Amino acid sequence: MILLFAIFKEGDLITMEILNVQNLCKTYGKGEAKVDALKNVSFSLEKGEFAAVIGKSGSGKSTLLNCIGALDTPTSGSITVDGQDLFSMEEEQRTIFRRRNIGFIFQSFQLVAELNVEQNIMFPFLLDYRRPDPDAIDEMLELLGLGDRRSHLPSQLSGGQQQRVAIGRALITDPKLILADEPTGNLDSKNSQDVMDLLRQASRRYHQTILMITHNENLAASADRIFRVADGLLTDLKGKGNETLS
Amino acid sequence: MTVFCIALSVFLVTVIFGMAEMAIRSQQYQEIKKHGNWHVIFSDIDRETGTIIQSRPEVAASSWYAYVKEETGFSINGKPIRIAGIDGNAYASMFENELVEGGFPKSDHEIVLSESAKSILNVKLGDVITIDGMGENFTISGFAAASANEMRYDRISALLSIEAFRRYVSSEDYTEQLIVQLSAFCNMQKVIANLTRTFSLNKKQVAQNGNLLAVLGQSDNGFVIQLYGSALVLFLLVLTASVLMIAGSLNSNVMQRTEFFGMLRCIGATKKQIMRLVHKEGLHWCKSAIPAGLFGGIVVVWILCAALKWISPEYFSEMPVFRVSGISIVCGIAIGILTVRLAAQSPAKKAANVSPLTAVSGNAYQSQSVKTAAKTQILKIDTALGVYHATANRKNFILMTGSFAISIVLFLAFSPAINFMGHAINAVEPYAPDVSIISADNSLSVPQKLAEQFEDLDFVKRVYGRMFAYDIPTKENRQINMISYEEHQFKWANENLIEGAAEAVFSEENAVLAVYNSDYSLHTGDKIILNVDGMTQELNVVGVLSKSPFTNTPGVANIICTEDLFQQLWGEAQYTIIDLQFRRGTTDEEAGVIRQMAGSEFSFSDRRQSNQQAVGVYYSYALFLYGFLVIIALITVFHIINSVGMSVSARIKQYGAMRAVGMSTRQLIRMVTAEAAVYSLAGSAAGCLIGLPIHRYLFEHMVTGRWGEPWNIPVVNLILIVSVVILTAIIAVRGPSRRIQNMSIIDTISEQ
Repeated sequence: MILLFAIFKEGDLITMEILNVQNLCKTYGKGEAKVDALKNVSFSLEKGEFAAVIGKSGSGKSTLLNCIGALDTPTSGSITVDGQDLFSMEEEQRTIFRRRNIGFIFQSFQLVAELNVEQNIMFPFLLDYRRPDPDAIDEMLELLGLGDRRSHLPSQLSGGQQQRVAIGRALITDPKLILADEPTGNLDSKNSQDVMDLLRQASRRYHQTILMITHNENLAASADRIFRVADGLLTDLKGKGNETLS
Repeated sequence: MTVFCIALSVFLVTVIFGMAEMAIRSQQYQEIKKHGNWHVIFSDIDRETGTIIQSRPEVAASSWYAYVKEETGFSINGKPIRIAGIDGNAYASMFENELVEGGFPKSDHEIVLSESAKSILNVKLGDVITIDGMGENFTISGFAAASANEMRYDRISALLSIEAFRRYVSSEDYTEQLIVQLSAFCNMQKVIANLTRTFSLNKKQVAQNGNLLAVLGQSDNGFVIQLYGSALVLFLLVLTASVLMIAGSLNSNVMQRTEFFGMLRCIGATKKQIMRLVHKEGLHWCKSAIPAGLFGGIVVVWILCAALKWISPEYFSEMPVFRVSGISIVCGIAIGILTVRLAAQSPAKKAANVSPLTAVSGNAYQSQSVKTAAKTQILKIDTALGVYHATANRKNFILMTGSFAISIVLFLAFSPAINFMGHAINAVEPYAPDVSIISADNSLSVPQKLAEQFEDLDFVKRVYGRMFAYDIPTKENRQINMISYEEHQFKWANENLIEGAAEAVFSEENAVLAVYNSDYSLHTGDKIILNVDGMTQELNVVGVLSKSPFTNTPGVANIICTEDLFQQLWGEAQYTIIDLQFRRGTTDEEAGVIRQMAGSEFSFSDRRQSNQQAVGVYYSYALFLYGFLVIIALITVFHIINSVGMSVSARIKQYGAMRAVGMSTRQLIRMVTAEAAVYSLAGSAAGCLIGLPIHRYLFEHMVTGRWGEPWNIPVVNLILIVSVVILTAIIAVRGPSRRIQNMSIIDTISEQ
């Protein structure tokens, strides 16, 4: 048991459960207009796992991600991140937990237009009224390939660069879980590939647990695990995505 | 919010014009009550000319009219009287409310007396009196309301029919005049000018009832024009503020629906159609906002009229309470429609210019262009972003700061008028007496014992006497008037103290207070050396008053001292005047008791009516001035609430994104608060910087120049308006805070 709380070094065997979703249901509307967006969804992710959720538009994959990220409230079921039940917390407490333990990457980047690259990356720290280690910021900027863009505003960056800033912001707090909602949806193929490389690198090098939503099955192929959502039901496709999908 | 803004502007304009109309009506009633409902008097004209004038179609009523003053020699029981004669029908139509008891003389031996005669002569209806100098007996057929002047100077007037007047008064003592009431529907100035020209009359022969014509809007005197002019200025002020508020609201409304307009353009709507849609939407809001504003305005006018009637029942007795002003309704509706039409112009254009591509590309929401990054080194991130939001766009910052500042500037610029009013209309000062017993020859002859006797009466609230010594020469060959005060008067005087200390008159030897006089300037520490019959006496000025109840004679200083000092200088003396203040509800009979106690040796002055009139005038002005200030404050309040609300609306999607990446609700609220705080602080600073010099300039011109009161920083006014601005900014954050708390992060993000 003590091993679960040990600090793992790169390449160590990871057996710690980061995300646990049990019997998650989400229903919209009432009566005849009732829609079951998620039906009894249950799954879990171990530390360092890179999972992809695929599904058609309207299948419920974004609803799943929003519930896991505590942006939306499930109708029933439970979600624990690093052993903490998200919905047993007060709103303020949940926000702080999310800020420190869950990194978000959105399709439309959601950078703060008034902050430069460096400030956007350290935004979660600033919200905690803390200053990150300058070396960590430098390292992150180098990793993202944005060393020469640190003082640029989001409006002065390309889409790919903006998404890299968003990834930097998600990684900087070393969160327990990274949720990526169609991270390449607004990017061309070159930039999409770069973003995917970054996510894979984060998973391999830093043992980040990543749950990514995409409708692009080829991108999902590079994930460790693949889930398919259809009509609110989640199917675990297990194994390497490319094997299953082929 | 938009509906509320429209309703607010309609409400304000309805109240402004409603009160202006009520004020004019009240003035009309007052003028008719004071001077009669006649419009022009022709003097020195022959009977034939008079008959032609009387037969003109524009003449509604007319009569030959004559009067003689007290000096002519007619009296009743030794009391000199003035007598007038007029035709009964003309009197009924021109002085209809004047008779308070009985009727107009039906025969040559009947007479109407002013009401003051009841207590002065102790007479009643039906009594027979003899007019000395005429040698005729008359039966009292009625009593007419006494004017404020008659009451104050204890005069009696008598009214006879014109026939009786001609019969009993020698024609050498008077000249007859033709008094004319014109039709309300004619152009009175034109008719008067026409008559003057036709009969080659000069200016002296034609006397107009200027005040009445002014309040009827029938003269060159701009009373009505001034009043409606002021209302128009307020109308424009409200219009500007409302257009700004509603335009902001509409703009944000349009911004939030850019995709919708893009979609409309996609499916074939023309630019014109979209503009019409936005305009129609605005007008649709008017449907509920205008009636709500009108109703609120009418009710508030009723409440204000009722309040004025309650404050000064005598003066505002004729003011209608439940009356609906047509002009206020028309102006209310006009401002409602006008603001929406004007305010919708720019948003409608913006909506019409939305590219059809916007709907397809989904780039509906573009955050404002950002040129530099926020400074997060010193301030916390939430505060830093709030400050940045407020200051990043220079044009927006200047506009917002300016709109906050303009309210403060207006408030400060207008407040010297309150000080001016406080000085100019002094009959409502606490020392104003209800009645006074005055020495007939201004000598020290009213017994001090009388004051003690008055104090024992239940209905008497306060008694205070004064001793006067006039035109005392000083060593510098100047003159002073010395006036003694007792403790009540010193207490009141203390409120007008601009230098020194009033209490020093009791503790220091030969200490006096000087009243500010621009021709004879005295200051604390100055010495006045009196030169009385070769004897010198030194007086020490220990304080200066900005004003006193006494007239300032040029070059003669009014000096206030204690009764002890006065008697020390002038020997055991009696009062020159005793003033009395009554308790509320004191009757005329009770006032008569004072007259009887004082006896006929002294003059009796009943100032209750003139005080009431002054109170009325004061409250009319006060209502107008404070009303204006309240309107400025209200506009400030709603403008700030609206501006902060609009600013949040414009950024609500950005806030959603910030929440998604971990910003808490509390931090978001702190951010909005910081933004509002920057506007209000910068606005307050700018407002004070611009407003204070204006306040000083106006104060020095309106108040210091006349009454010597030096300008001081108006701390109370500043605290008041800056508190209004800051408090409103705090309140303004509450609405957006609630919206932020209830905001769905997912909906906000997914819209982008």
